[in-house]
Parts: sequence; structure tokens; C-alpha cells
Amino acid sequence: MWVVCLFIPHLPVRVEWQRDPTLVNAPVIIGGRRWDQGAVLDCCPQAITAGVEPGMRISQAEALCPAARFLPADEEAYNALHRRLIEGARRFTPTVENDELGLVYADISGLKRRFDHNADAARRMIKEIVNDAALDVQIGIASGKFVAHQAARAAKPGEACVVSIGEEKAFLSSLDISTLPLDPEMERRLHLLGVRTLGAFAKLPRLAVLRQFGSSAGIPYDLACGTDDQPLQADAPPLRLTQSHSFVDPVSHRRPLLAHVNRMANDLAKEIVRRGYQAEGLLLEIEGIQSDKGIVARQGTGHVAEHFSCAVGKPVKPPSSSADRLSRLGARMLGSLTIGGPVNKLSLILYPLQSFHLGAAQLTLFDSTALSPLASRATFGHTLRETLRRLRDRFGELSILIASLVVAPAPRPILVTTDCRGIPRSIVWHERIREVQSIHEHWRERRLWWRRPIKRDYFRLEIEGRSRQTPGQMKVVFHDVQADRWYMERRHI
Amino acid sequence: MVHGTPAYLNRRSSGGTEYAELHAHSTHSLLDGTSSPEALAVRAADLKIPALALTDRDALYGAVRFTKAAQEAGIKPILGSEMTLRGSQGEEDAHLTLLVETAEGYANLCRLITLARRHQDKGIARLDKRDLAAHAGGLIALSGCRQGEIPRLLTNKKREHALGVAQGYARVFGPHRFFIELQRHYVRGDSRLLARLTTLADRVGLDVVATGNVHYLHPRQRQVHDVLRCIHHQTILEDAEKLLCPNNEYTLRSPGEMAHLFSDIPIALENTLRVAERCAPAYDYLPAGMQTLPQGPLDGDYGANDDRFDQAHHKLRWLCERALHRRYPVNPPQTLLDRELSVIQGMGLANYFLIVWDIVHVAQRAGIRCQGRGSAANSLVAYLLDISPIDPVACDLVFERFLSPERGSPPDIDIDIAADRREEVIQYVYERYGREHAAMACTFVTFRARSAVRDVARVLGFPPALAERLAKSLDIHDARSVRESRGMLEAFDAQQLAGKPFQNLLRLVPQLDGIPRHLGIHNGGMVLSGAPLCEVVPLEPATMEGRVVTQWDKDSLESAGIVKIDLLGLRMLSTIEDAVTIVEGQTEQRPDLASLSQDDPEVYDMLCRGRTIGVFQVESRAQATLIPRFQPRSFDDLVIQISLIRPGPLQAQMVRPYLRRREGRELVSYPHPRLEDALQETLGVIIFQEQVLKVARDLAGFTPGEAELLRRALSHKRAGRKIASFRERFLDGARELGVETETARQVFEQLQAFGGYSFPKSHAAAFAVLTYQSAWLRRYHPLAFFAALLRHQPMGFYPAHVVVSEARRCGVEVRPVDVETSDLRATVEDQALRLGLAVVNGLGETGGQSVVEARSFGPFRSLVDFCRRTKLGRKAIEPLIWAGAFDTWGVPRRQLLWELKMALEAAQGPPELPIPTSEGHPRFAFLSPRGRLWTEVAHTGMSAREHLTSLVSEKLRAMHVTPSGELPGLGDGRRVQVGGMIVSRQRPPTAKGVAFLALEDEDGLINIVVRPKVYEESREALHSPFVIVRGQLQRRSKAISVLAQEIIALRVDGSPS
Repeated sequence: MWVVCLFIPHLPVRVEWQRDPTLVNAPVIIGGRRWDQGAVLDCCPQAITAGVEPGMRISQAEALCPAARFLPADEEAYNALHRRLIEGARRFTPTVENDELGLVYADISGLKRRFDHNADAARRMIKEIVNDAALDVQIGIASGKFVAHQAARAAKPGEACVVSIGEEKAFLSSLDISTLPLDPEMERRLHLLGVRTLGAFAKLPRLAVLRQFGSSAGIPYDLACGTDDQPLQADAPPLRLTQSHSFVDPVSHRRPLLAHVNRMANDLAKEIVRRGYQAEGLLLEIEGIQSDKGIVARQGTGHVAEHFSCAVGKPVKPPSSSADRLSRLGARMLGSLTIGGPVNKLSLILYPLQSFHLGAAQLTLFDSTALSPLASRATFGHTLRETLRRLRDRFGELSILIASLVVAPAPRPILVTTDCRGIPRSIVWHERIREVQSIHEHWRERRLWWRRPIKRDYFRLEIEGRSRQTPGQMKVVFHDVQADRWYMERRHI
Repeated sequence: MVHGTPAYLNRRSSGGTEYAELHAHSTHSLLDGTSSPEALAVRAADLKIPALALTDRDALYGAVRFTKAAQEAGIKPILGSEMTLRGSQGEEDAHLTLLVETAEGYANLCRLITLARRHQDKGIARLDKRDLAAHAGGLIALSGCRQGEIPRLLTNKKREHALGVAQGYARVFGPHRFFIELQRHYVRGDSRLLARLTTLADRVGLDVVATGNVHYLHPRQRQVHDVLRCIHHQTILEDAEKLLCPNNEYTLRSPGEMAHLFSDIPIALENTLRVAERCAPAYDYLPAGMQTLPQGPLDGDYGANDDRFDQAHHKLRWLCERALHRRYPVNPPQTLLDRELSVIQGMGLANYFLIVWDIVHVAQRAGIRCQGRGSAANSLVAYLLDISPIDPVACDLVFERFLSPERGSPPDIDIDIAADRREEVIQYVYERYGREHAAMACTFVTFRARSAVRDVARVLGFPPALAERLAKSLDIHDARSVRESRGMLEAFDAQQLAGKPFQNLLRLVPQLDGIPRHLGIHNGGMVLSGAPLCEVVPLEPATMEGRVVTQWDKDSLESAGIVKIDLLGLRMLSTIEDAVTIVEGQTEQRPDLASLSQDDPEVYDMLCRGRTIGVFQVESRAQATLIPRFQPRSFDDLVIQISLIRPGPLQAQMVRPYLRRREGRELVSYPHPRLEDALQETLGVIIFQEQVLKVARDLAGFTPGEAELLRRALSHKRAGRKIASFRERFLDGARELGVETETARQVFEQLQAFGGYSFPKSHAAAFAVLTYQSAWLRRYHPLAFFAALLRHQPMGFYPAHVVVSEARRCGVEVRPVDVETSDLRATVEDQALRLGLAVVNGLGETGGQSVVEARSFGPFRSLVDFCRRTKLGRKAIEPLIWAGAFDTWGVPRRQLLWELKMALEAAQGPPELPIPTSEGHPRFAFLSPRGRLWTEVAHTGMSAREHLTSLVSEKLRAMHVTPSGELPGLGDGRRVQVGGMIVSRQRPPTAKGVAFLALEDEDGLINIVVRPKVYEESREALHSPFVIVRGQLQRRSKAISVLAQEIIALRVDGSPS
């Protein structure tokens, strides 16, 4: 195998630098603005020196590197550039592995026929990709992914580093042991033993290493020796499954079409269950003969028949393999289509398919005792907090942030007239001034002083009805003390 | 209903609004209050609140301070506590506010708090309702805050249950002593809860009372309160939403504000006054004099009658008379003894002396070295009872410095006990008098700069590493001045510090200064009581097993007139005992240190040469600089030498005049001829505390008791008014004795500068005994002395590696740690010192002990054998290997490290399993000498064979530094370049910014003086372990130092390879 590694270190930072060259001299942290709740997506080497790490809370990063420029992540732009990197690689070979942002591997074993020497291949590739991306890509070419990645790291921006077959071990020997995927304990012990480089590690007998550190040490040991057999996991087009039915006699009524859609959905569901997939989307395609009167028109009226086709797609959320769900969705899609005439072909397509286990992780969130009826609310709360902490530890801050995307409706600004003590007397609601009939409760919230202070005076009050006949309405309004503005609270309080 | 018509209710009808606050937390609610008891009292007085109840959570920690402050502020102090009641099955614990109505109530509250704390972890209290019912007498109860049982039930809409609970409390306390507590803090749901509470009160027939549940004085202190809550719950602000109050309304409100808040329920406010009137003021029932002590030992024939008071006095007299003739065969000071005994009898302290005598004698009989220190050594009675080793007659000490009727506070006898055996003595006291009658005084561990920065940074969400970096960068101790810390300003640039989290941190940290964080145990203060102690002051278990502490610290105990006995641990006593035992083991003769003549010239010669490392009290850098000039030649000289380096003599600028007069470069003179008698022994300058008393007596005609009061006033920072009145008295007295006012004024100013921050002569003399004994051991038995010294590290001024280097310089062979021969602590082995396993970092005492125990069955045969027999894990064995403890096996350290994995696995299996061979193993080479030194230092902090400066010796040679051994041969003012390891850094506040370093090279120590400018320029270098100093040699008599002009950091290159 002959692998090329295309590497743009700190791709998001590079994109931002390219957009605004004044950022080059300042530490840059990407992921959110100062005081945002999110996590750091990427940061420049200057920020890394200050202790900032990707995945860290923005507030922590702010504390570590207050002088940094904090930028919200433009993931679309980063992904676009990354996709260009992939597309560039695909021009040479279909076997492309998509790793993290700014890191792509491609199997170029077949390129020897096109280029005399690998360095030529590299140069050409650089020319094309760099011109395309307008960025300095570092390229490494070697017989395996690990060596190619290390070669890319060693290469200068816009240049290639080629490691010939047989020279892997020598190339790697001077690299620090931390470049290997080692668990921290193994790395610590290797340091104690004075093994600081890949070369020193590779000199140890393999069996002794396995015995000393366990069988999992075999992979890093082989990598240190330059042996890397792991194949490229090439990106494949998304899986899709199609079932079609052609009618000998075009069908003009919806009922038989519906029956066919149901049957096809059932068949498809059975098939994906058998294969262990779930569908993320459903597509219904219909082909038929155009008729002026639509589906009720009959053939044989002497008109020249024109063909039509129409399609409708819907996402399946959450992904499913349930026959019932797919049938119901299919029926709804059929109902939503305006069909131009008798139908002679019906196709139902499930796309893209994903394995059951993809995107899912099994965690023991609660032990059974914590959920027992005897467990107090405090215990439950503690367990929940602990679980969230573990989720954060394992999947990073973003796993929790996703949950927080479901937000309550924002408060609505309103106009309020108050008395001299600041107590509301009337409010403007639905473009009408409503008198406050009574105040049922008054409370104050002074929270989050360490981040963005919230200073609100709440009133639960009753306002007069739309007319004299209609009863009064209970509302919760609050006065934002800092901004000196009034809002209608729309959350349920 | 509450009966009676209080007078102030009539006043109220004239139009004014009155309100008494019955629910307030101070900083002594430990991490749940931000205002000191004093601040609360003062603020209440400002707001014209006539009475204030301090209701700290499950505690009376601040009761004495609060009572005193409230009395001074002119408000009525009421004591109480917010008790935590144990929740019934599945329910959370609930709060209940208890207020002391009578003296019986106070005793019951103390007992209830003690019961709530019993068998709980530190900081936790849970009171059983059964206990509450059994000790409810004399207490008034309020239903509590939102965490109270009744409010919580009502919030959860369990009205009938709440009704039953309220009726239950009414039965326990009586309907007139249980009130429904109403609070309004603008919290959502307040109105609904208040309506339910008032309805419930009506249904049960209870009165309502309004309270403020005060946690801080000003809304802005809410932030500090939030931070404290997070520290308490070990969480960060971001995660603490439910733990924090929703707003900043928990302040102490004025009566007007409360009247506005409770305008719909005015009776709730009126009832606060009724309750306040019923509660007795705290000073009526708090202890205000010496507690009834348990009976001391009264056995023996001493001809006493039946009265126990007389019995104790007779026994004391009998013991003293018996010892008087033994101690003074010629001219016994009978008059002095009679005077002391009469004062002791007059103050009812005979039993107290007997108790202390009993403790000292039990310890001495058990072979535990102990001796009295401090002012007790002024007493002849203490000397005769063997409590103090100092003869007050020979040393011309003043009894009134220890005890006088005028002083009005109880005496304080401090006993130093060999540190390693102190616990035996403490447990003896517990057993002798019972755990109900004995407890140790507590201390409040308050926030200082570093602890505050660590905690606040964590709470604000700083990453742990950054919080630690921040804390370590601080070069100040006072949290209030955190913004001025130069170390922090240098470690973090201005832009970083301008960030919001840093600004929050810098704003909050100073506000935490002095707030108690948690409870600790006082060094040794034990309180004894004849009556159960838990009725005088609440008790709680300490973290240390078998210890119980009072809820009052030493200041509160002293203010309440409660006498304590300080049983202090002193490592030097353990060191001396160990050294004597080692000498006995070597020579079969036990040196009798008590009978040493204290005038051995060899010992003084050694001290005069500045060879003082390890010698008690004179090893510090300042003392080591002073001693070659001072040239002590007698025990009295040692007493003065010890007393010179104290803030008092230094601030009053008495050290240099004394040295000049001693060296004969200045004539001895006295401010007034009347002072010749008082100051003759110290050549006309004031050095001892007793001299303050003598000066006041001789120059201004003070009585001994008055003079002692003056000294105490001078030693208090905030006693300006008291000092002013003493000054008048002093000047008047001097005038009456014919002393010129100007002279009297100058002398008083000198006394004021002296301040009292000095040793009493008695104390210095007691310490000088140990100084001489340790110096004698060092001079004649260095091997035993240094071995004993290393056994009790950390101790003294220098780190252990300096002690090891000094031992080597004294010709002692030091051997490294060895698993085959090392004991847990340092031992003597064939006229050499063997380092103990305890010096190995990460091994721990248990680990070291298991090695010693395993070895008792024979030497270790292999690493597998070692692992199997010691049952130690990788974390303990790795540092042992690196420390060179297996070097005698002749196997490279890394080889052993490689084989450790297999050895640990093999040790898990049965013994008959074949020992894995090293076939197929990689071969590791021996470490280079430098690598060996490096790893030894990294894992033990010292090296047995080489000095740590060997790590930079090449650089030192290359830069042509002068070794410390060659400095005595160089002339004053010569430019020199010295280098080595910094072993101490000091910047005393009295030195006006000048810093003093002790630099050590292979030959010895070098004193470096760093002026402020150089200090500022070299801040970074000063944090480096190794430095080169360029400067000027200074000679003062035989004392040598280098005045630094430039300090350069030396980096240690590389790592073991």
C-alpha cells in the first residue's frame, strides 16, 4: 500500500487567518465568543502554549488566555475546505479516508503508473490541491497511514515529505514517544525506563514489550517499527435501498397506489432489519402519463400521452426500521403529491442507511439502586449530575450542549407603566393598554453574577380582559433592572 | 399567645417601628455566613435593632465574640442555633431555629449541639427528635426557614401532615415557646408559603414571628456567600444553581424595611420583641469565670481537713515544701513560696496546679520528656512541682508575669511534650477525667491568601492547574492584599488579569480574608471541667480519632474565663530523647542531660563558630549570623541570645546597641539611674518581657499586677485607648518618683516599640535548656544527634537534605536507603548513619513499615520475594527502586523497573510458581552518577553520598565561583562570586524590604543579603533552586555574609540517562 496524507494543522484557525490576516499575530480561539457557554473547537499554537485545549469550556479558555480573539465557529466554512481536501484527493484515487478536520488519507498505490516517481505525484497533488484550497497543505507519502501522517507533520507547508519503503523505521526513530497512540500509564513507564524515542522503543524485543505492557502495546510497537497494516477506511457513498413496481396498466386511483406503497415499505423494512440498518430518510418517486384531468383521466382519449414524474422525500427522525413508521410515512407522502395522471411506476427508496450501532453509545447511566422508590430526590439529583459529568468527560461539552438547544420561548418586550415604587400599573398587550387589576406575587432574581448578571424583578399579575365581559388574564412580567426594560415571560412559571 | 405587656411595646405605640432580629448567621455558620459576629452586632446597633439573636448552624462557635461585641454595641445579645434535625426515613434533614430563653436553655442547647454532632463526620450535625424532646427546657423554637420541616411540608402541599408536625413541636416546647417563623426574601412562592404558614398558625393556635434569616449585611456580600456555599458543597458556581439563593435579599434589614415587608402581618413583628424580651441576655448565662475543675489527685498524707478546696491547697503546699528543701538545701526562698501559694490559694488555683503536676508526673514516669514553657517558669511553685526546669530565684524571674490577682484572666500553663508521645499524655487526660469532662480547644482555620485563591478559583471554574499556578505565584499571606502580590503580577500579564474571571477572583478573594473555613484542633490546649463540659460549651468530635474539641477557640475560652492546659508537642524533645537512647545503645551509658553543668567551653566554641544546624532555637539564618558576633560563653548568654532575634527587640532597635555594648564598642548607659537594677543584666537595653514589668515598677511605681496589665496592653495591636491611659498613669507615676517627664516619655515610647513581642525570660530560659542539651549532643555525639534529628523531620529551620549535608561535614558517614538494612526512620549502623525508608516519597509510613516487618523474617531473595512479602504495589516500589534502595543487589535500576511487572505478577501467584527468568528481557545499563543523584533527589529530596550542588558543579566550576570554605580567608569588601542551592529565603517585615538567603554549597552555608532593588531585579532567579550570586563580602566581627549585587539562576540540564 502507498498512502498519502494531506494535512492542514489547525484548519479552522487557518481559515480564520485567511479571512482576517490581522489575526495572525494574536492568539485565536474558535468555538464561541467570550462568555459563551460552548467549548473550544480549535485554537492557534499561541493559545495552546497558554494552556488552552480543544474541548475546553470557553470560559476556562478565557481565563487562561484572556488576550485571545474569540471567534464563533463557522463549521460550514471549515467543512467546505475539508471537503475540498477530500475532493482533491479523490481526483487521484477513489480510496480516500476522511479523518478529523484537516486530515485526509488517500491510497495512491495505483499512481505509480501515472507518475514516474512518488515525489512527482506528491508535487502534482500539491499543486492542484493548494491552488484549489488556497492553503498550505502538508503532504506525507509513505507505505502506511501512521508514517504518512508523521511525514506530513514533518513536511513544510506546501511541500511533501516522502518516506520510501524500507526507510520507515529510520524516519520514525528520532520522533518522540508521545506521537504514538499510548495510554498515559504506558507512556509514563516508558519515560521512566529511559525510552523517549520511537527508535529506542523499537529496539526493545517485541515479546518483552507485549509481556511488559500487555497485548494492546503491540499496535504502538509495530507503528514505532514502521509496520502499519491498518487499511484505509475509504468513504463510500451512502447506502440506499430501492423497491420499484411497474404497473402493466397505469393506475389512476390512489387506493391501489397506497396498497403498493404499504407493501413496498413493509418489504423494505424487513430487508433493512435483516441487514441491521436503520433509515434516515424515505423517498417516493412516481412516474406516469400526463393527463389534463389529473389522475382520474383515462387512457384512450386520442390525446398524445406525455409522461410525468414526481417525487417527495422526508427525513425519518429518529432513524428507524419500523415497518409501521415507514408505511405511515409513505402513505403521508403519497397523499401530499399532486399526481398529474395515471401512474405506471412507483419507487420507494430508503436512504441513507446506517447501522444500528452508529451514532449510538451504550452507557450505564444509573445504577438500579439510584432509581429505587426509596431513593431520595437528593440521591436522584446527585446521580443525574454524576451521569452528566461522565457524559461530559466521555463525549465532551458538546454532548450536553445538544440537550440545551431545546430552549424555552424567549421573553417578549412589552411596555409597562409603573407607580413611583416600580410596581406595574398597566401594560400594553396586543396593542391595547390593559390595567393591572391585582399583583399576586412579586419576586426578585439576581443570578449568574459571575458570567452575565441577571437582575430581574418579576410580577405575577392579573390584567383586565379584552372587554369588560371577558375575565382578567394572569400574566408574568419582569423588569430587567440592568437594561431597564419590561418583558412578558412566556415560559411556564 | 404571648403574655405580658413589654415596656417597649408601649414605646412603639408612640409611632416608632421596632423589630428584633431572631435569626442571623455569622461567619461562624462555617461557609454559610459572611459577616463576623462583631459586624452583625455593630450593624444591628446602627439600624437601631434592640436585640439580635445569633443562630449559627448547629454551633455556638461565635457566641462569646458576639456577646462581647453586642454588649459593647449596646444591643441585647441572644444566643441560639439553627439546628439540623434528622429527617425521618427517605426525607431530607430539616432546620429548626432554637433560641436560649434561660440558663437551663443554654445548657440544653449546648447539649443538643453536642448530641447532634456526636457520631457524625466532621462538619455534619443531625439531631434526633427524641433528643430534642428530652432537652427542650428553657428553649424557644421557631419553625425555621424554607428548609424547616413545616415550611417544606406546606410547600409540598402536605398541609395536614404539617399541622400534625406543628402540634408535635408545640407539645415538646409548649405552645408559648414554639412560634411559626415567617420570612420574606422576594423569593418565588413566598406569598403562597406565608399564607399557608399563617393559616396553619391560626389553626394550631400558635403565634407567628418574622425573621430575616440573615446571611450577610449588604446585598453585595451575596457573591461571597455564593462562593462560600460552593466551597462547602465542593462544587462550582456553574453547577450550583439550586444550592444558591435566588437573590441578594438575605441581609440584616432595618425595622422600617421589615415593617414595610410585613405590613400585612404586623403582629409578626411585634412578637419578635416579645420573644426577645423573654430571652435572657447571653452574658447572664455564659460562663464568666474559671470553670469548676475536676478534682486533682489528693492521695497521700498531707494533713488536710475534709473541705476539698482546703485539701487541694494543703496537698499543694505539702508537695512544694517537700521539694523546697530538696531544691534549695541552703537559704530556701520560703517567703517567695508563701507569697505564691497565698496568691494561688486566693485565686482558687491549687487544684489546677495539682492537675498539671499530675499530668507532668505521669508523663515523666512513663519516660516521656516534658517541661513547662512560657510564663509558668516564673513560678517557684511550678519549679518545685517539676513543671518547669527553671529556677526562678536563680534567674531572678517575676512571679506576677505568670499570675496576679489584678490580671483578671486565668493563668496559662504550657507544657512541651516529646511530639511523638504527646498523644499518650492527651489520652491519659481523657481517661483520667472522662470524655464528658475533657476536650481540646478548637481553632478556626481561616482563609488566607493561598487558600482563598485556590478555593475561589475552583469555584469560578478555573482549571485546577491554573488555580494552583495562581496560588503558588502569591508571595503574600494576607488575602486582602492579593491585588498587590508581585509574584502574581509577574506570573500573569496585565491583559490576562483584566479578564472577567480574574477580576471576579481578585474582587472576591480579599472579602474571604479571615473568614473561618473549617475547624481545627488547637496545638495542645485542653479544657477540663468538673461538671459535664457539654453543658458549658458544645463539643464535637475532631477528625483525628479519639479527640473531642470544644466549639470555642482559645480566645473565646479565655474571654469566658475558662482555664486550659496547653499540652504542646515539641519535636526537639523527641530528638533529644532518641539521641540519648542511641548513645546509650552505643556506649551502654545513658547521658544524664539534666545534670549537665551548662558551661562546657567546647560546646560554646562550636556555637561561636556558627556550627548550629540542628541546635534548638539558634540554627536559623538570623541566629547563625548573630552568634559569631555574640560569642555566647554561658547559659545566661544563651538565654539572651535566644531572646534577641524577636520582633520586640528588633523593632525597638535594641539588638545593635546591645551587641556594641557587649563588644565594648559602646558604654553601658541607662535611660535613668532607677532602671539600672532592671536592665543591668542586659547592658541597659530591654530584651525580656519581665523587664517591661520591672521598668514600670522602678520608674513609675506600678504594682507588679499593674505592670503586667501594661505589658499585655502593649502587646495588643488594637489597645490604643488602654495604652493611652497607661501612658498617663506611667508619666504621673514617674513624676511622683522624681523622674523627668521627658525621660519617662522616652522610656514609655521604647516600651511601646518593644510591644511585648518578645520572650519572657522564663520562656527563653526554658528553651535555652534545650538549646544547650542539643548543642552538647551535637558536639559530643554527632552521629546519634543527626540520626535523631533526621528521625523527626520536618523540624527546625532547614530541610532534611541540609541536615544530611551538615552531618557529612561533621564527619558522619551517611548511607543511602536500603531495603535490606534501612529502618522506617534513620538509624545508626556501624558508626554510620543509615537513612530511613520514610524519606522515600510515595512509599508512606505504612509501606515503609511493611518492608521492615517483611524483612524481619530474613533478607529478601529477589524482587519477586520482595513483592510477595511486602505486598507493596507498583506505586510504592517504583520510588524505592529510583531512590536506590535496591542498589546493593547490583542490578541496574531500570532493569529492576522492567522486571517489576513480572515480579508483581509472580508475587500474586502461589509461591511454588517458577520465578520468571530474565531471558528475552532487554538489558538496561546502570545510570550515570549524575543520573543516580538526580533520581535520588527526585524521590527522596536528598542524597546520602553527594551534595545536591553536584548537579550544577560543572557550571559552578566553569564560572569560577568561590566555595564557602574559602570565604573566611577573604577580606571585607572583596568582590566575590558564590554559588549553590538556596535552602532558605526570608524577607522579614522588620527588615524594610531586605531579603536574606541561605545558600548552601558542598562546604557549608553562605548568608546572602539582598537589598530591595536587587531583589526586584532577581525575582525570577530567586525562585530557582540553584543560583550564582555576585556581590561584596561583608565581615562583621566573625560573621560573614555576601551583599548581593546580581543573582543568576542556574538551570539543571538533562535528566537521568
